[in-house]
Amino acid sequence: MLGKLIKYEIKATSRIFLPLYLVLILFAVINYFMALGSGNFTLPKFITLTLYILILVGMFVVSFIVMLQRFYKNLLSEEGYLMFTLPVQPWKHIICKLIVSSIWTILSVIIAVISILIIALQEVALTDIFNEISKIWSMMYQALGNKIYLYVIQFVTGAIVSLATSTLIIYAAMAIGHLSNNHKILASIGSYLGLYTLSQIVASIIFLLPLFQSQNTHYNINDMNLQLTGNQYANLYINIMGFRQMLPRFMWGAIALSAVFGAAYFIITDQILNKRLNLE
Amino acid sequence: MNAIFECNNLKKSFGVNHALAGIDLRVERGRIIGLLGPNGSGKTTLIKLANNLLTPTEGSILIGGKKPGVETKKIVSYLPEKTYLNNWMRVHQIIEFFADFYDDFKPEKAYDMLKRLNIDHRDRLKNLSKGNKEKVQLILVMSREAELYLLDEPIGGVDPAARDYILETIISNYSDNATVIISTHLIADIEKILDDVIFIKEGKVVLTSTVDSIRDEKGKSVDALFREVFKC
Repeated sequence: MLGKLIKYEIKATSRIFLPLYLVLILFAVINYFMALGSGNFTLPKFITLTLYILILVGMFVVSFIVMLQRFYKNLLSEEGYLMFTLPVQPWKHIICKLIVSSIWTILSVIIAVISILIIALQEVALTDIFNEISKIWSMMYQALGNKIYLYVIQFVTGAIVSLATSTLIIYAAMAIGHLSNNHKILASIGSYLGLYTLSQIVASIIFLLPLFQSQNTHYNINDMNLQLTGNQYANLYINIMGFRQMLPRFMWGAIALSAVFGAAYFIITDQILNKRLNLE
Repeated sequence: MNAIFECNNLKKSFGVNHALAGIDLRVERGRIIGLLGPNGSGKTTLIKLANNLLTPTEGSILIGGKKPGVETKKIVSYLPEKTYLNNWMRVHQIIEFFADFYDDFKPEKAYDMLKRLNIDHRDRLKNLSKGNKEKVQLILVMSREAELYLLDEPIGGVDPAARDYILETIISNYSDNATVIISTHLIADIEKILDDVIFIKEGKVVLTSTVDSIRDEKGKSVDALFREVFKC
């Protein structure tokens, strides 16, 4: 059933995104040919480049609006009568919306990169770009060794988790806002600010607590103001190196915390859709 | 055989407002029942509870012995009073959608009814008139071979000629084992197809009876009795 939901969700949203991608690529190509013409920066060039940038920005704005609108309109408004009487558990609706909106966001990023590459082709060859990328990669590999793969995995995981969490907090805010009888949209915005603030406070407590504790055991901030002896310099250096060693662990901790928040938002949303549905 | 629809001391409150104030009901299989009451009497609330769109404040509601959930949704065909059609599908696409999600949906029935009511299956849902949207929704609901049909105001927005066809459709499309509960205040129009009536007022059942006994014992039509019971 989740597969079927996803199929229809993609059908409902692809009619917005596919033409948008096409237009963006088209404008990238137009910009490419405009640059081939003459060397000077002319008004038509300025106009096509401006239009391209507007479409590029617009694409991400649309991704965001569609994410909001599909959840609100398809589940919490009249269409909810159809969706919630399907023989499907409510959590599948949430997961379906989350997956499809994430797919479009990731695709939008990929399409944006492709369009930028197309425009960049007027200045440099595609092979030059790939050469540069592989140069940067080998430089990073020299500096980090095999750990670079760990960083890449960490970066990708972090990006996906934070995308999911930042979507789920909005779903949770809309679900809470929808409990209000009169001012659903206002209540949704209020819920978002409330959830966001609460999460920030909890995250700060969790991350700052170990830091305060470690202040005594490692080096004291006050030491920095003193004349540092050679030995102290060495200590400080070790601490910095220690921090570099700690960084991946710190990042994994941040990703895990973000995932926990995402799970909490999911549970809030699911509970409301299950027990407190309040369709107009 | 167990009852298809059962409520025990069912209560639903919205804050201080008691929409349902303790409903006890037992509806058998194979009946056509009118759920009748004035506006705000709790008809829609009761039907939404049966579809798991609301959760009871107190008491229980059972569909074929089960609490409303995924399993009951497979056997309940529900027509809400709202228009839930999205603005991007065509008529044939929503038929495919229903066929995809409901095992008991019969597309050929739907196409047949569309033809009878002169609705083009290639039309976009958003371009249909309000009446045609209601007809499409009713066609979708009646093209399922469900055990329980819950129809909330099924004929409110359609013209009298289509009303007759729709009522005929309702009678001819449900199997002997299925039960149809129709909520409405247009009693005169549907009276002739009803087996039983349930009168509901201020969240309470005030009368349950067969239509025959109302006619025989009270010597009145359901419409006349309704006007008497709910006199303002």
